[in-house]
Order: sequence, then structure tokens, then C-alpha cells
Amino acid sequence: MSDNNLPTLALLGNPNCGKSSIFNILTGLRQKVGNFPGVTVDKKVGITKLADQSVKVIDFPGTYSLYPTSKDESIIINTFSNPSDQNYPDVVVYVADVTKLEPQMLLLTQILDLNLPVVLALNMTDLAEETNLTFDEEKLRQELGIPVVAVSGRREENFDKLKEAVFQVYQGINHLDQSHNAFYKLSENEKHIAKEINSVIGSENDYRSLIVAHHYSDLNYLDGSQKSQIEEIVNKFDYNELRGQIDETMARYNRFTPIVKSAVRKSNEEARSFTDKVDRILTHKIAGPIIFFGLMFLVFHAIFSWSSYPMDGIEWMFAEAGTFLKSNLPDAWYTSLLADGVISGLGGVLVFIPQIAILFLLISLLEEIGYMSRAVFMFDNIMQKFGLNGRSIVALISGGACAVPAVMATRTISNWKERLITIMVTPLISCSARIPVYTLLIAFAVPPIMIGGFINAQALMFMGLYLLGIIGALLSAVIFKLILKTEEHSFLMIELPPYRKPNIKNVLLTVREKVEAFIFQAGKVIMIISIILWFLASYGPGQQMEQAREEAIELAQKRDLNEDETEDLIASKQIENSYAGFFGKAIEPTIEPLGFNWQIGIAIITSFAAREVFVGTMATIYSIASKEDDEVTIRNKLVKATDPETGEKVYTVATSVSLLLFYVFAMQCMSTLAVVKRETKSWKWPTIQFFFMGAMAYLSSLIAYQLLS
Amino acid sequence: MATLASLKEKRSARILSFQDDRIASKLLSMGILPGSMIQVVRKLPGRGAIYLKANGYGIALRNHEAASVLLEEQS
Repeated sequence: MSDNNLPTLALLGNPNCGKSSIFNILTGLRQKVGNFPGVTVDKKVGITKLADQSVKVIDFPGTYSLYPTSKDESIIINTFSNPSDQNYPDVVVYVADVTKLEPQMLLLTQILDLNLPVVLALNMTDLAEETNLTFDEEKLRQELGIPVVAVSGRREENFDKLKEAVFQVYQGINHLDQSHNAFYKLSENEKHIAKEINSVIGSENDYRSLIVAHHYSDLNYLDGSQKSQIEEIVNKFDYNELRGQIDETMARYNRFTPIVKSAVRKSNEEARSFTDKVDRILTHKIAGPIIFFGLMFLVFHAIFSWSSYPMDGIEWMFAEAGTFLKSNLPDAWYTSLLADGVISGLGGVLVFIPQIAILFLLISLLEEIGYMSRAVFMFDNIMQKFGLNGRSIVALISGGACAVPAVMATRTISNWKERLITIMVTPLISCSARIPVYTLLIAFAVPPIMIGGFINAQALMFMGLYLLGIIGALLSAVIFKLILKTEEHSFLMIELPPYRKPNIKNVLLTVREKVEAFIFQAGKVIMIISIILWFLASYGPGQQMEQAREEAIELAQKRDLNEDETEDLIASKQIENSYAGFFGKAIEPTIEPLGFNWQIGIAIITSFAAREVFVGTMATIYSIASKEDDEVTIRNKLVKATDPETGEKVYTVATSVSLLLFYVFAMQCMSTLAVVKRETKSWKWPTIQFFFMGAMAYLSSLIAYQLLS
Repeated sequence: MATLASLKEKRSARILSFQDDRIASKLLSMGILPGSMIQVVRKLPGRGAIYLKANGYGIALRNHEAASVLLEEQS
């Protein structure tokens, strides 16, 4: 999108004012998500048309005032106090929820005092109708001196009018007198400060300089000498920042409260009464958490059951495509690269889409309704003890289905340290890809007996593995909490907005955005790693692969095997002699203390693509017909596996328990690492994650094997 | 001195002053000023978070965050 030369329209407003609906209606599908320079704050940008003029629309994070308390909000102060900023708007659409206009006038009058051309969009007129609230647009227009348009984001009403008003303001036609009396009159002291700062930063706007006096240390566009000059000025006039903010806020309220009172008539005094009633149950000390876990169970269940059909479909499609290529293209290296590397890599990316889509469909639905902030409120206290945030609980629970969407869901945690810890520990929660591995191995570790006559020992083991994952996640969270240092203050301070009907369009656009982000950013890494893994499994040092093939054919003839059995034997011998087999043997001394042989070593390497690949690799190594690679067949084969030198069984209880523990803790998932890289914007954190989880896996397997063998 | 953290569930009081600049800044941004009435909707057990209502907003604060908001003595 070459949108750099287009005029900029900024969407601004309080959180929960319905700004994103308006953004979605204005830009439709012509939008993308980027980042504000230097920070991990999403910057949503889209294109809209005003008459014949295309304009760039930027959806700024919701904020209550020009006195920011978070990273998101400080974007706004950096942009709006700097006319040479690349995102500085040519025109502002200020979105306000008309049903609670008064507190939203604070930011509006601040923006007006910065002399920006503004159109006021009074949103949620549908809600106003339902609650019998009436308002006088003309009165507001006169009092504020700016165009005012009533719109409904939900019903998509009056957007032509809004665009027309914005276009006129942009052209300067209807740009009412901006040298109007400023809403806030600076005190004598503040005027002196503003005058001196004006000359430091070359500003003509006193209010802008006052804002700079308040925030100069957070403003990226000021250089060191400017900052120290401003610091001197602030100290010279003994400027008290908090006092200043209180005085300004009170003065503004005194000024606009009468305006709002005269323009808006509420017939229903208690607009929150419905919300209050619902919250009596949903935030109840006992019922609240129960309802939350019930809802999360439904979400978990939905990810699990709804996604299995599309996932099977995607896997089938790519398997068929691979087979089709192999049977229609010459038997050459590029066919294998296409079928086993590229196609299966692509399948490995796309197979996650159903889970990501379903999780974000449900999570953003709960978010839209206003429920998520209640969950944060209820669990903040407990989560904090582990260095996490109330919002972490959503990620941790979703991690039980799949860590990939769960890690993506941490974006709502605004404190960087708490978000990072959540990202680091979420993959320890046992995900659905571990289930096939658990199912395969539990039978070797625990006999199928009933404890006390009614508790299935294998089921108990299964549950134990899940619990171990949860305990591992919480314990490592505590350790990260002690290690990681941050200057950023941790806040709860969250608005609990009134409950409202979800806007389905917003929900669907969120889903689309998350799916795209995964495909285009994590997908690249997954593709590259799966091609590397293909290479490792298909090629070997020197002529070993060819020799292995010939030996296998010879052996097959000797044993009088049929065609399928021969193919399986070849595959088995080839993987043994490939680079993967080479590495498997190379790491054997390292993994021997855990009770693993080189065959398991190969499976550990290849299952880095995804944990469930372990089962398939085991099938290949023990040359099990590809058609029968279900867990029961493989299990029967593995039971017979013996060490050729000692003749002892490979899958003893000790080895199986050790391997299970390894899969509980090890970071055996390239997709998660790719997503962690995307979310933390560096390779540092996925690398640390890989090694700390690896260390946990290695140590617990070592202890278990040494104790049991 | 009475603080917002010591206010009982379902009770309201008038804000006297703020002791933490960051909490103050956030509340001021929502138009919650010294002199505003504030109500405790729910307090979670174990010094958990507190659900408050003021100026038409529902807000959750941690216990220690609420402790930084001083209240006028009730008559």
C-alpha cells in the first residue's frame, strides 16, 4: 500500500467508544496492522475515500486524556504534540459514545486546544434510542465550534454525512474558528513556562508547550539538549505536574459540564443498571470464577472438537497433494523437496488456522461483550503472585489446546514483563499435539490396572502429566518473575465497561487479522524449518543413502518381502543413514543417561516440526506400513524392540516415563518458537525458551530414568 | 486516615486526595477528581482487586492502588 503521500485522518477517542467499528466501516477490508516506530503497539491503518480524495486512516489506541498512563497512550502524546511526526493528522475524527458524553469531553477539548481540525462523531445513537436518551447536535456544534455528526457504528448509519463533514474540514471550508477561546486558560505560572518552552521547541501553541512541560522525558522527538532546557524551565518555575493536571482537569470539567448538560438529556438516570445486575453474578466471589472456568472449558472444547474436522481436511488435502506430485512428477530431488518439504511445510502452517480462528472468534466475542475485563479483575490477584497478569489466564488456558494462538492472545497484556512471562511459560501447558505421544507411551510406563478397583492407573498418569505441565509453567513463571527486571510499573487499573451486544463485523475482522499475522509472519519460519528438516531426513553424508537403499532391497529379496514391505524397509534404512539418523546417533551419548537410544534421538529431532510427528517417525524407523501407523500398531511393534547388543527391551518403564517427562517439558514445536519470535520481535526469547524448557526436560528425564532403572 | 481500600462493599464516599501520581493521573483522565463520589461495588477476598464505580465508569483497582486514594471522613 503506497499510502505515505496521502493525507492522514486520525481516529481518536476513549477506550470502549466504538472506535474500531467506525474504523472498520470507513476502511472495510482495505486495512493492515503495523507498528508504531520503536514500540510493540499495534498501529491499524486503512484507506478510505472522501469524495474523490483517498485518505489514510489511522486508528489510534483508545485513551482518556493527553496524560498517558501506558505505552499505548504515550503513542498519542508523541504524535499529537509533534506537528512534524509522520503520523500527525491532517484531520481528526473524535469518536464519542453519546450515552456517556461528559467524561469523553476531556480529551476532545484537549485536542481542540492543540488547534487540530476536528469532527466530532457521536457514536452509539442506536443505544441512545434504546435508552431514550436525546441529544442536540446543533447545540454541541455551536458550543464547541466544530462539526458534529451523529452516527451508529452498529447500524452503519450516517457515514456519508460523516465523510462529507470530514472532507469539508479537510478542505478548510467548514473548519470553524480554531482561534476560539481555548477551553483551558493557563495560569500565570503556566503561561511563563509555555512561553519559554515555545522558543525551545519552536511552537506557537501554549497548550502544546504545557503538554511538553508535563511529558518531555517521554517525548522521543526531543533531543537531549532540548530535554535539559525544558527540565531547567520546569524547575525554575517550580511546576508541579500532578497539581497542574488536577487543575486543568477540573477547569475543563467546569467548562464543559454545562455544555453537555444542556445538549444531552438522559431519561434513564441509571444506565448501568443492567450491567450492575449481570455483574452481581458474573463477578461474584464464588459463582464468578466457576462461570469463568465453565466458559473457558467451552472455549477449550470448541477449539478441540470444532477444529478437528477442518484440521483433518487440511492434512488430508496436503497429503493427497504430496502423493499426487510424487506420482506425476519424475522421481527426482525436486519432487521430494516439493512434496515432502514445501507441501508438508505449507500444510504444517495452514493446519493451525482452524484453532487460531476458533480461539480468536470466541475470545474477541467475549472481549466485545465486555466480559474479558471481568476475568482480568477476578484473577489478577492470584496471577500476580506468579509474576503474571489477570489477562494471562486466558493464554494459559488456551495453551491447553495449542500454544500458537495462546501466545498470540497475550497482546492484551500491556505490561511487558507480565506479557513476556506469560509467553515464556504458556508452551509448558500440555497442548493437544502432546496427546498422541502420551497415548503411545503411557502404555509402556503404566500397566492398565485399576487402583483401588476403580481408578484407571493410565488415566491417572495422563492427568499427572497435565498437572506436571501446569506446575512447571507456574514455577518457571515465579523464577522469571525474580530474574526479569523492569522499570515499567505494573497496573491493574482497568475499566469495566458496560455489557453490550457484540459487533460481529469487528469480531470477524479480528479473526482475519490474527490468521493473517500467523500465516505471513510465523509461517515463513515454519516453512524454512520444515525444509531443513526435510533435508536432514532425505539426505545423508556421502553415498550412505544409496548404499542403505541397495542393502534394504537386497535384504528384502532375501526375506521375500512384498512391495509395500520393501518400501517400508527402505524408508527405515534410509532414515537411519540420513543426516537426521546421523544426528540421532551423534546425540546418543548425550541422551543415553535418559534411557534413549539413537532411534528415539531421530524422533526427537524430527518431532521438532510438531510433537505428533514423533509417532510417525517411530513408525518409519521400525518400518511399519505407512497405512497402519496408528498408535496400537506402533505400540505392538515397539514392545518387541530390543537393543541388538544386550538384547534388552528398549521401552522399559524407566525409558517410557523418562520420554514422557521429556515431552511434557521440551520445547518441541517450531511453530510456537516462530510465533514467540514474532510476538517478542527478537530471537532472544525463543532461544532462551528453547534452552530453559530443554533443560527442564533433560533434568526431569535424567532424574526419572536414574531413579527407575 | 480513611482510604478507598478500607471502604466497605456497597458503600460510597467522597475523594479527598491522591497519593500516587500514576493512579491519580488515570482516575483524573476518567474525570474522577478530588470531591467526586466513588462507590465500592465489589471487593474480592484476600486483598484482591476492588470493583469501583465513579463518574459513570466501572473501574477495577488493586488493593494497594485503592489504598493510595484518600477519602473524606464520613459525617
